[in-house]
Amino acid sequence: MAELGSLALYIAFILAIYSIVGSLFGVYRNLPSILRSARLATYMTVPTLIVATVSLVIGFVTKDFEIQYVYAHSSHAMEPIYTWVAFYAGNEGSLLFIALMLSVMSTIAILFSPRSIDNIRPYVISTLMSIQLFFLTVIIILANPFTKMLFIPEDGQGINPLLTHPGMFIHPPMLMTGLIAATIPFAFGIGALIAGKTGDEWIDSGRTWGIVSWAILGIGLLLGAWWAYTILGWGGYWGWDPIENAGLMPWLGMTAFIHSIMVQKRRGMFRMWNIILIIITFGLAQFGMFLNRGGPVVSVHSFAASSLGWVFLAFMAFTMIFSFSLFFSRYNKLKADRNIESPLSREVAFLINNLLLLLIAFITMWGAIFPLITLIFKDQIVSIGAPFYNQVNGPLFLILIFLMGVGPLLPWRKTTLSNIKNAMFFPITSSILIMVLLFILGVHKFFPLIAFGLSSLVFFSISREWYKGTMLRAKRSRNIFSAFINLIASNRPRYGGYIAHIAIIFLAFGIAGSSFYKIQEDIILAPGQSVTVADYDIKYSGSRIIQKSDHVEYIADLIVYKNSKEISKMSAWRAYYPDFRMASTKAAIRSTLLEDLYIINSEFLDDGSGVFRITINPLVIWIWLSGPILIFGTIIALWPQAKTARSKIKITLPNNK
Amino acid sequence: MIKTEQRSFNWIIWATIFFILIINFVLLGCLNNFEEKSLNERAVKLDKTLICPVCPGETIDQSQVEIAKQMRIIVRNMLSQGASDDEVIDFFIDRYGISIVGDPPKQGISLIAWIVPLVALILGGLILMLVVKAMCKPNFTKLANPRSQLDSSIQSYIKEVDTEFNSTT
Repeated sequence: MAELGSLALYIAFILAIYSIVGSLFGVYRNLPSILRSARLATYMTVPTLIVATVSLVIGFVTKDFEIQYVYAHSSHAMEPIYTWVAFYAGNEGSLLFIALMLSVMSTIAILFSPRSIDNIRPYVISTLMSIQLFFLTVIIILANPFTKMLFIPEDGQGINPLLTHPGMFIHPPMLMTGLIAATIPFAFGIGALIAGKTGDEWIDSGRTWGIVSWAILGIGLLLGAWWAYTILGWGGYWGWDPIENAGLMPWLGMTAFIHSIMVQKRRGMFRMWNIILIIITFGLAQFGMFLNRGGPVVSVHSFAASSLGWVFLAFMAFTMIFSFSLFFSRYNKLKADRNIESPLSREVAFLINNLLLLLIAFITMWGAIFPLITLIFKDQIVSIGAPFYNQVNGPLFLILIFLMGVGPLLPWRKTTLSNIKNAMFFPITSSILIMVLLFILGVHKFFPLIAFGLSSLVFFSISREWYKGTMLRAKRSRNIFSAFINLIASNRPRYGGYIAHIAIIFLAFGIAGSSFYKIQEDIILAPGQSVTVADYDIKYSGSRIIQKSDHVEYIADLIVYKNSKEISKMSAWRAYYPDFRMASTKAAIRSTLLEDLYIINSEFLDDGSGVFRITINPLVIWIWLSGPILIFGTIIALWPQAKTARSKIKITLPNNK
Repeated sequence: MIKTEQRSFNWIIWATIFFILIINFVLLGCLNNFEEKSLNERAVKLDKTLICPVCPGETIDQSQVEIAKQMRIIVRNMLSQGASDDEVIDFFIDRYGISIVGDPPKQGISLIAWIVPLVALILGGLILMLVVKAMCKPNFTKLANPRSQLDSSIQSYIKEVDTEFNSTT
């Protein structure tokens, strides 16, 4: 199988080269047939890469330890279900996965690209395939998954136990797909620049794929947080770890892009800015891949670390220099034909949003770079960790939420003072009331109070928009429910965006609650002993030890009482993998809408007692709930606009002639 | 002329909003620090500040290795003997160097780590203001906006329509 896989990689490599050369030559000589064949070559990279992927999967399933990669990441003792995870446990497999995803998304993007970008498409294809060529070169030369061992070993080394978690089935592939998906809108922007069609032709495709990669990356980050929460055993979900940051930075950049592209779509402005934004976002995604592939910073998440990182850094430098020189060569063509009419408008609110998002991304990057600077120039080791990011980025996030509350109330173009007063009166007074209420109820800490207040501001301003719009439509249709559906259908980008905003305030709600009102106790319990944490009485009833094929499981059984009534039985799980000399924990978690009871057992002492960390994490579940809402909002925002409006124009056109 | 006045007035609104927000942060942030905290709360906060010396990038709150456990015990012992938060931090810095804290001290070379984000914020804000100002060129707006060429009698009517329209959408 290894031979077939290798062969498929070489074929994909040749197809990518043909695709680039064919597209450029076809445009140069104006040969539609060559253009078509170049396009087909791009599509054909999908089946060839699928062949390579399947070959590797078969290698895993048949335990073909002659393949070095299979040897390094699986073993006979491994449960077969984890083959899927083992596939991307190392560099070779994950790069192959990334290449496959890039081909799949490129093909979909090109197949469904509108006719309006006919002149741009060949350049989009050659941009996409140039990046694909880079990945294939790295895979073939530096990280070939089909490299053979000199002999056939009896058994493989097995899979990293930290990876054997349900979250691992989707979290890494989502993150990788999200990072590489940033290539698609980037290619549309660059294609438009090369073609000199710097108007609004590319923005529909750019926006669609920007939102797609934004949503995939966002869900990937959430799943990563969930994985860390359940398995890393410290009761938190986000530690500003370099690998988490690697995914967060491009997500922030993409958030800025999908907002600012709306200004170009609606008002024809910010052309230059959107190009710059997508270039920066792509750069951040590459920086993320660089950190993932073994950058200079250490992380708990990096499984595929190696010296490959530097190849990625060099490629990142190259693409950034190329993109920005291209940008400056087209500078004059990018001028907008309309101006901002007033600083107090939605356009300017979007600009401030962009500034804040990029600032947070920059600070996050700065935190990764600064320790390197001090190490090189002063030979001093400095750590930039969670406390730094929380202090610097925390307030910026709060301002961003504030902007999320007022931005939608500002109309396009300009507004008057009385209009603003009118629009903001209800949301601002209601959110102040909420804050007062919370203060009376006992929320006395400053940051959570502000965070809850601002979140409610966002909620009320969105509700106001929905209420006003629905009432206006209900006057005509007399049915409030259908009026509401019609309202959302009438401007999907806008109302889908509002739903995504709701997801973000869920997130803010959960983060504020769990980071400021966490209760944590480290305690040793003998069997039969119990402890009281907040209003829970937790009794340690005993332990079980189970021997499995490749690991030993230690399970601590607990009974939880509230108001002296038994509410649940919980088991804190822990395992030791002798082959890896690694321990793995799974917390016992009992979630309610208000708080999570989270129990970790870290060891059993000789006398049979257990060492526990008992944590009460308020509102954590809201963080996970934001995921489905985010997906729902994305789908609404991307759902194609009904065709009726367009067909009307088509009918009237011939009449005008 | 009225237009430009209106515009600078709009700027004042943005500036005031952000000024109030920032003042709030600073003021109430300070007040927050005076709040009496329990020993356990202070210990957990210190746990989250101190970086585990052997495990990459994790705080001693996160890490499960032996040295992190011992450090957590030291933190609690020192606090119960009446040490202040700063004394605990200094104790660890003396032994491990400043890389032991996740937020580097705001002095010496690591002050740069804190200044750069602030400079970026101010610079970014200034650039944004200049860009918006440049994009607000009145002569251009006049050409693009035929309304300004209409006579004044109709202006008041348009204004009314505008307010009506804006209040409903």
